[in-house]
Amino acid sequence: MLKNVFKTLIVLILTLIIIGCSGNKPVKEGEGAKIIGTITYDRVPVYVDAIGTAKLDYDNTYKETGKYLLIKAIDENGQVLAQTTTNNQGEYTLYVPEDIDIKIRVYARMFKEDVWDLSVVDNTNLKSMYVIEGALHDSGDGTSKRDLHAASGWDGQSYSAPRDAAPFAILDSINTIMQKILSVNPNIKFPHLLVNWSINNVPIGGDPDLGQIGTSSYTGDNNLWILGDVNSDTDEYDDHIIIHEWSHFFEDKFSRSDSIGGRHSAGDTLDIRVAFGEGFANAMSAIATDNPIYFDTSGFNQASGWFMNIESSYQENPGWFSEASVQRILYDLYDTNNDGSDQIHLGFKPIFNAMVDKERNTKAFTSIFTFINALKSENNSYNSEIDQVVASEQINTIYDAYGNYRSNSAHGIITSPIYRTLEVGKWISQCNKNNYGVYNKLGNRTFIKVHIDTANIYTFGAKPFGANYGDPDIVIYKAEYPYDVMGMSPLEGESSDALTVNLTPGDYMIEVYDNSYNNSCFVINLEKDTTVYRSKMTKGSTAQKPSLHNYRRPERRPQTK
Amino acid sequence: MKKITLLSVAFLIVVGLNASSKIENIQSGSTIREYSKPGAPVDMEFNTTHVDINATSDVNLTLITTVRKGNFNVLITLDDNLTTVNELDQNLSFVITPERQKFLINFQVKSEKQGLFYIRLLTQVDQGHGLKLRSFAVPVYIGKKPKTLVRSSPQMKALANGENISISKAIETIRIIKEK
Repeated sequence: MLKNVFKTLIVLILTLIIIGCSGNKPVKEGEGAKIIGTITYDRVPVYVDAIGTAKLDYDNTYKETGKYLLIKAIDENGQVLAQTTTNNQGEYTLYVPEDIDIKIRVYARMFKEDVWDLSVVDNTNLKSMYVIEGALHDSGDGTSKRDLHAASGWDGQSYSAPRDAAPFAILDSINTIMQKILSVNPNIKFPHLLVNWSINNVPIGGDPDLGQIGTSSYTGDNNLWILGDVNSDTDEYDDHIIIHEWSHFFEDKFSRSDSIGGRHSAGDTLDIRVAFGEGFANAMSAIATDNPIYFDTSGFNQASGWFMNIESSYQENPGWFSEASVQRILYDLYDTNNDGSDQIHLGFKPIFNAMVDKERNTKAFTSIFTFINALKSENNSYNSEIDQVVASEQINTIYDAYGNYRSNSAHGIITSPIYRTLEVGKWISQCNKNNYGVYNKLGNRTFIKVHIDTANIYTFGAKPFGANYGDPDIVIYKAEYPYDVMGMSPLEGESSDALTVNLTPGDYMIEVYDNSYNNSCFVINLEKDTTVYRSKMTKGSTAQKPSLHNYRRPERRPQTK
Repeated sequence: MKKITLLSVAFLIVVGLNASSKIENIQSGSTIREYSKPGAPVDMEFNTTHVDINATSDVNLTLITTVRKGNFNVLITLDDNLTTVNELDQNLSFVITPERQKFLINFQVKSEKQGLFYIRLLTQVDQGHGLKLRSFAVPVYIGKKPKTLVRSSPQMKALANGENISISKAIETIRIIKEK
């Protein structure tokens, strides 16, 4: 034992002596040798053809600059002698001691104090951060230029070398959207973000340490996950996907999203919360890049992907339940291209302002109704033009955050009003429909507004109504930011359930659904300090059942830790 | 009699050892209710058997779409270390109808090597107004389940300040601008 301690001490002392003897001490700015340079990476563009295919166009790869990247000058002992960040042209300047061996290391990290700090790490390699570095060279006694480049690794046929450019491409796409945000709010501070990318990241959920990340996504814990599975699905150059997922981070940190996640597609008839969240993120990808072509490359040699036009794609299933309608509306409100019903150019600022204020604080679930209601209230003079764009998606005039007065019933799935109201001592009936799929599709869930006048214990009950039984679940939210789940009814696999909670005066939102996703109906009642369903009550439980699927952005992947 | 008893015991031990080393776990998963990026409206459920080297793993895939009409194409590719046991058409086409929104694909694979391998699916839905695609990977475990991935590059380095980095060599050009 003592022998080991002694050995460790000797090693430590020798290390300190070596470092001390290196004599390499940082110099002040303007002193010593000056090193300047530019950081670049291979940007692989996309090529889209007339038949709807998108592919990575390796033949037209070009050098793009690495902006705002962390740079360090390191001596032969690994000692950092200077550090800086590149500017918006990818340029850097460092001052180091004269006539010593120095190498330049570039981190896949964008850092600007109190503005942003985001990095790209390998989730399959202990979250190690990607870096590229040059070789040790004499710093000289004057000025030298060291340009460093991260290559794509593509040799014309396949990726035969490390894909060094990928982390820098991801950061550059995020920089594009952050600059868009900064253009309308120069004082914004972005929270820390970790981007998990790996060549091992495959499209199946499981163990993220093995790369089983499910899909490119944001998981609500300051982590972005990006696919990197060659000849299957790589997303590092698919800038619209990177920005789409980052936009969920934006919603989480600066606005609010009540989306429950799940699988979604442009033609789906979706839960309004999902439709808005996904449509917003798609629109943001087009707004940030000023390019309405959203693409996702995949397949052998990344040559058989698909794309959609955010502004003018075919209206498969327009309405307030469609993410495609949401993205077309938002992009039309933003863009300068006036056509048909789009006779408005609001730019990005009104959209940003609505998202960070009224959308964040709305008492309803976030949806196209809350957003348009917020936008109209802040841009009164454009209300008729906004209504016109909204109407082009078969959504009649939006007057409030709850979407009252709907005429488009999604082929009879929804009867107006979209939100029901439940009073203390009363009951309502509701029905669940799975015509358009399950979990996050329109008809799966019923939203119920509740107002409480006096503080007390209340019980929400659910029991079968009619012949079609199901497994009712009741979730209660406090109808104010951050709109957290306050409790959930506890039973699984039972045809009745109840939720007892201690409520203070205020507004609440109730969500009722059939966890077996049958076509079923329930009676929902609300009692004050009652004994109804007493045997099945919880006391204001915030404990969540193992199969809970209805908290914000759930089940997108198993959490890493 | 004693000899027979001893031989029987030895036989049972050998059989028992073989039985204990045989792996026959079912690996299953589903994308239903999982978040996904925009793409084709397709979900997947899978079952694969975790088997030993050279043993046959049953692969049962179910692809589900919410679309009620259109063409549905599936391209199946296997990791190099996986081979199919039975004949498999790797390029499948289906017609989606309101009665046919669920598609079953069953086959068997094996491997001479131990590790985690993938079967990859590229699904495509065409409703006549633009293609949409979605990719999936189906894990097949052969032999001992890996806890970490085997890698050759880039190099991961732990620095004294607690920073972990994966280092790659940059393409570097150096030029002297000005001598002192």
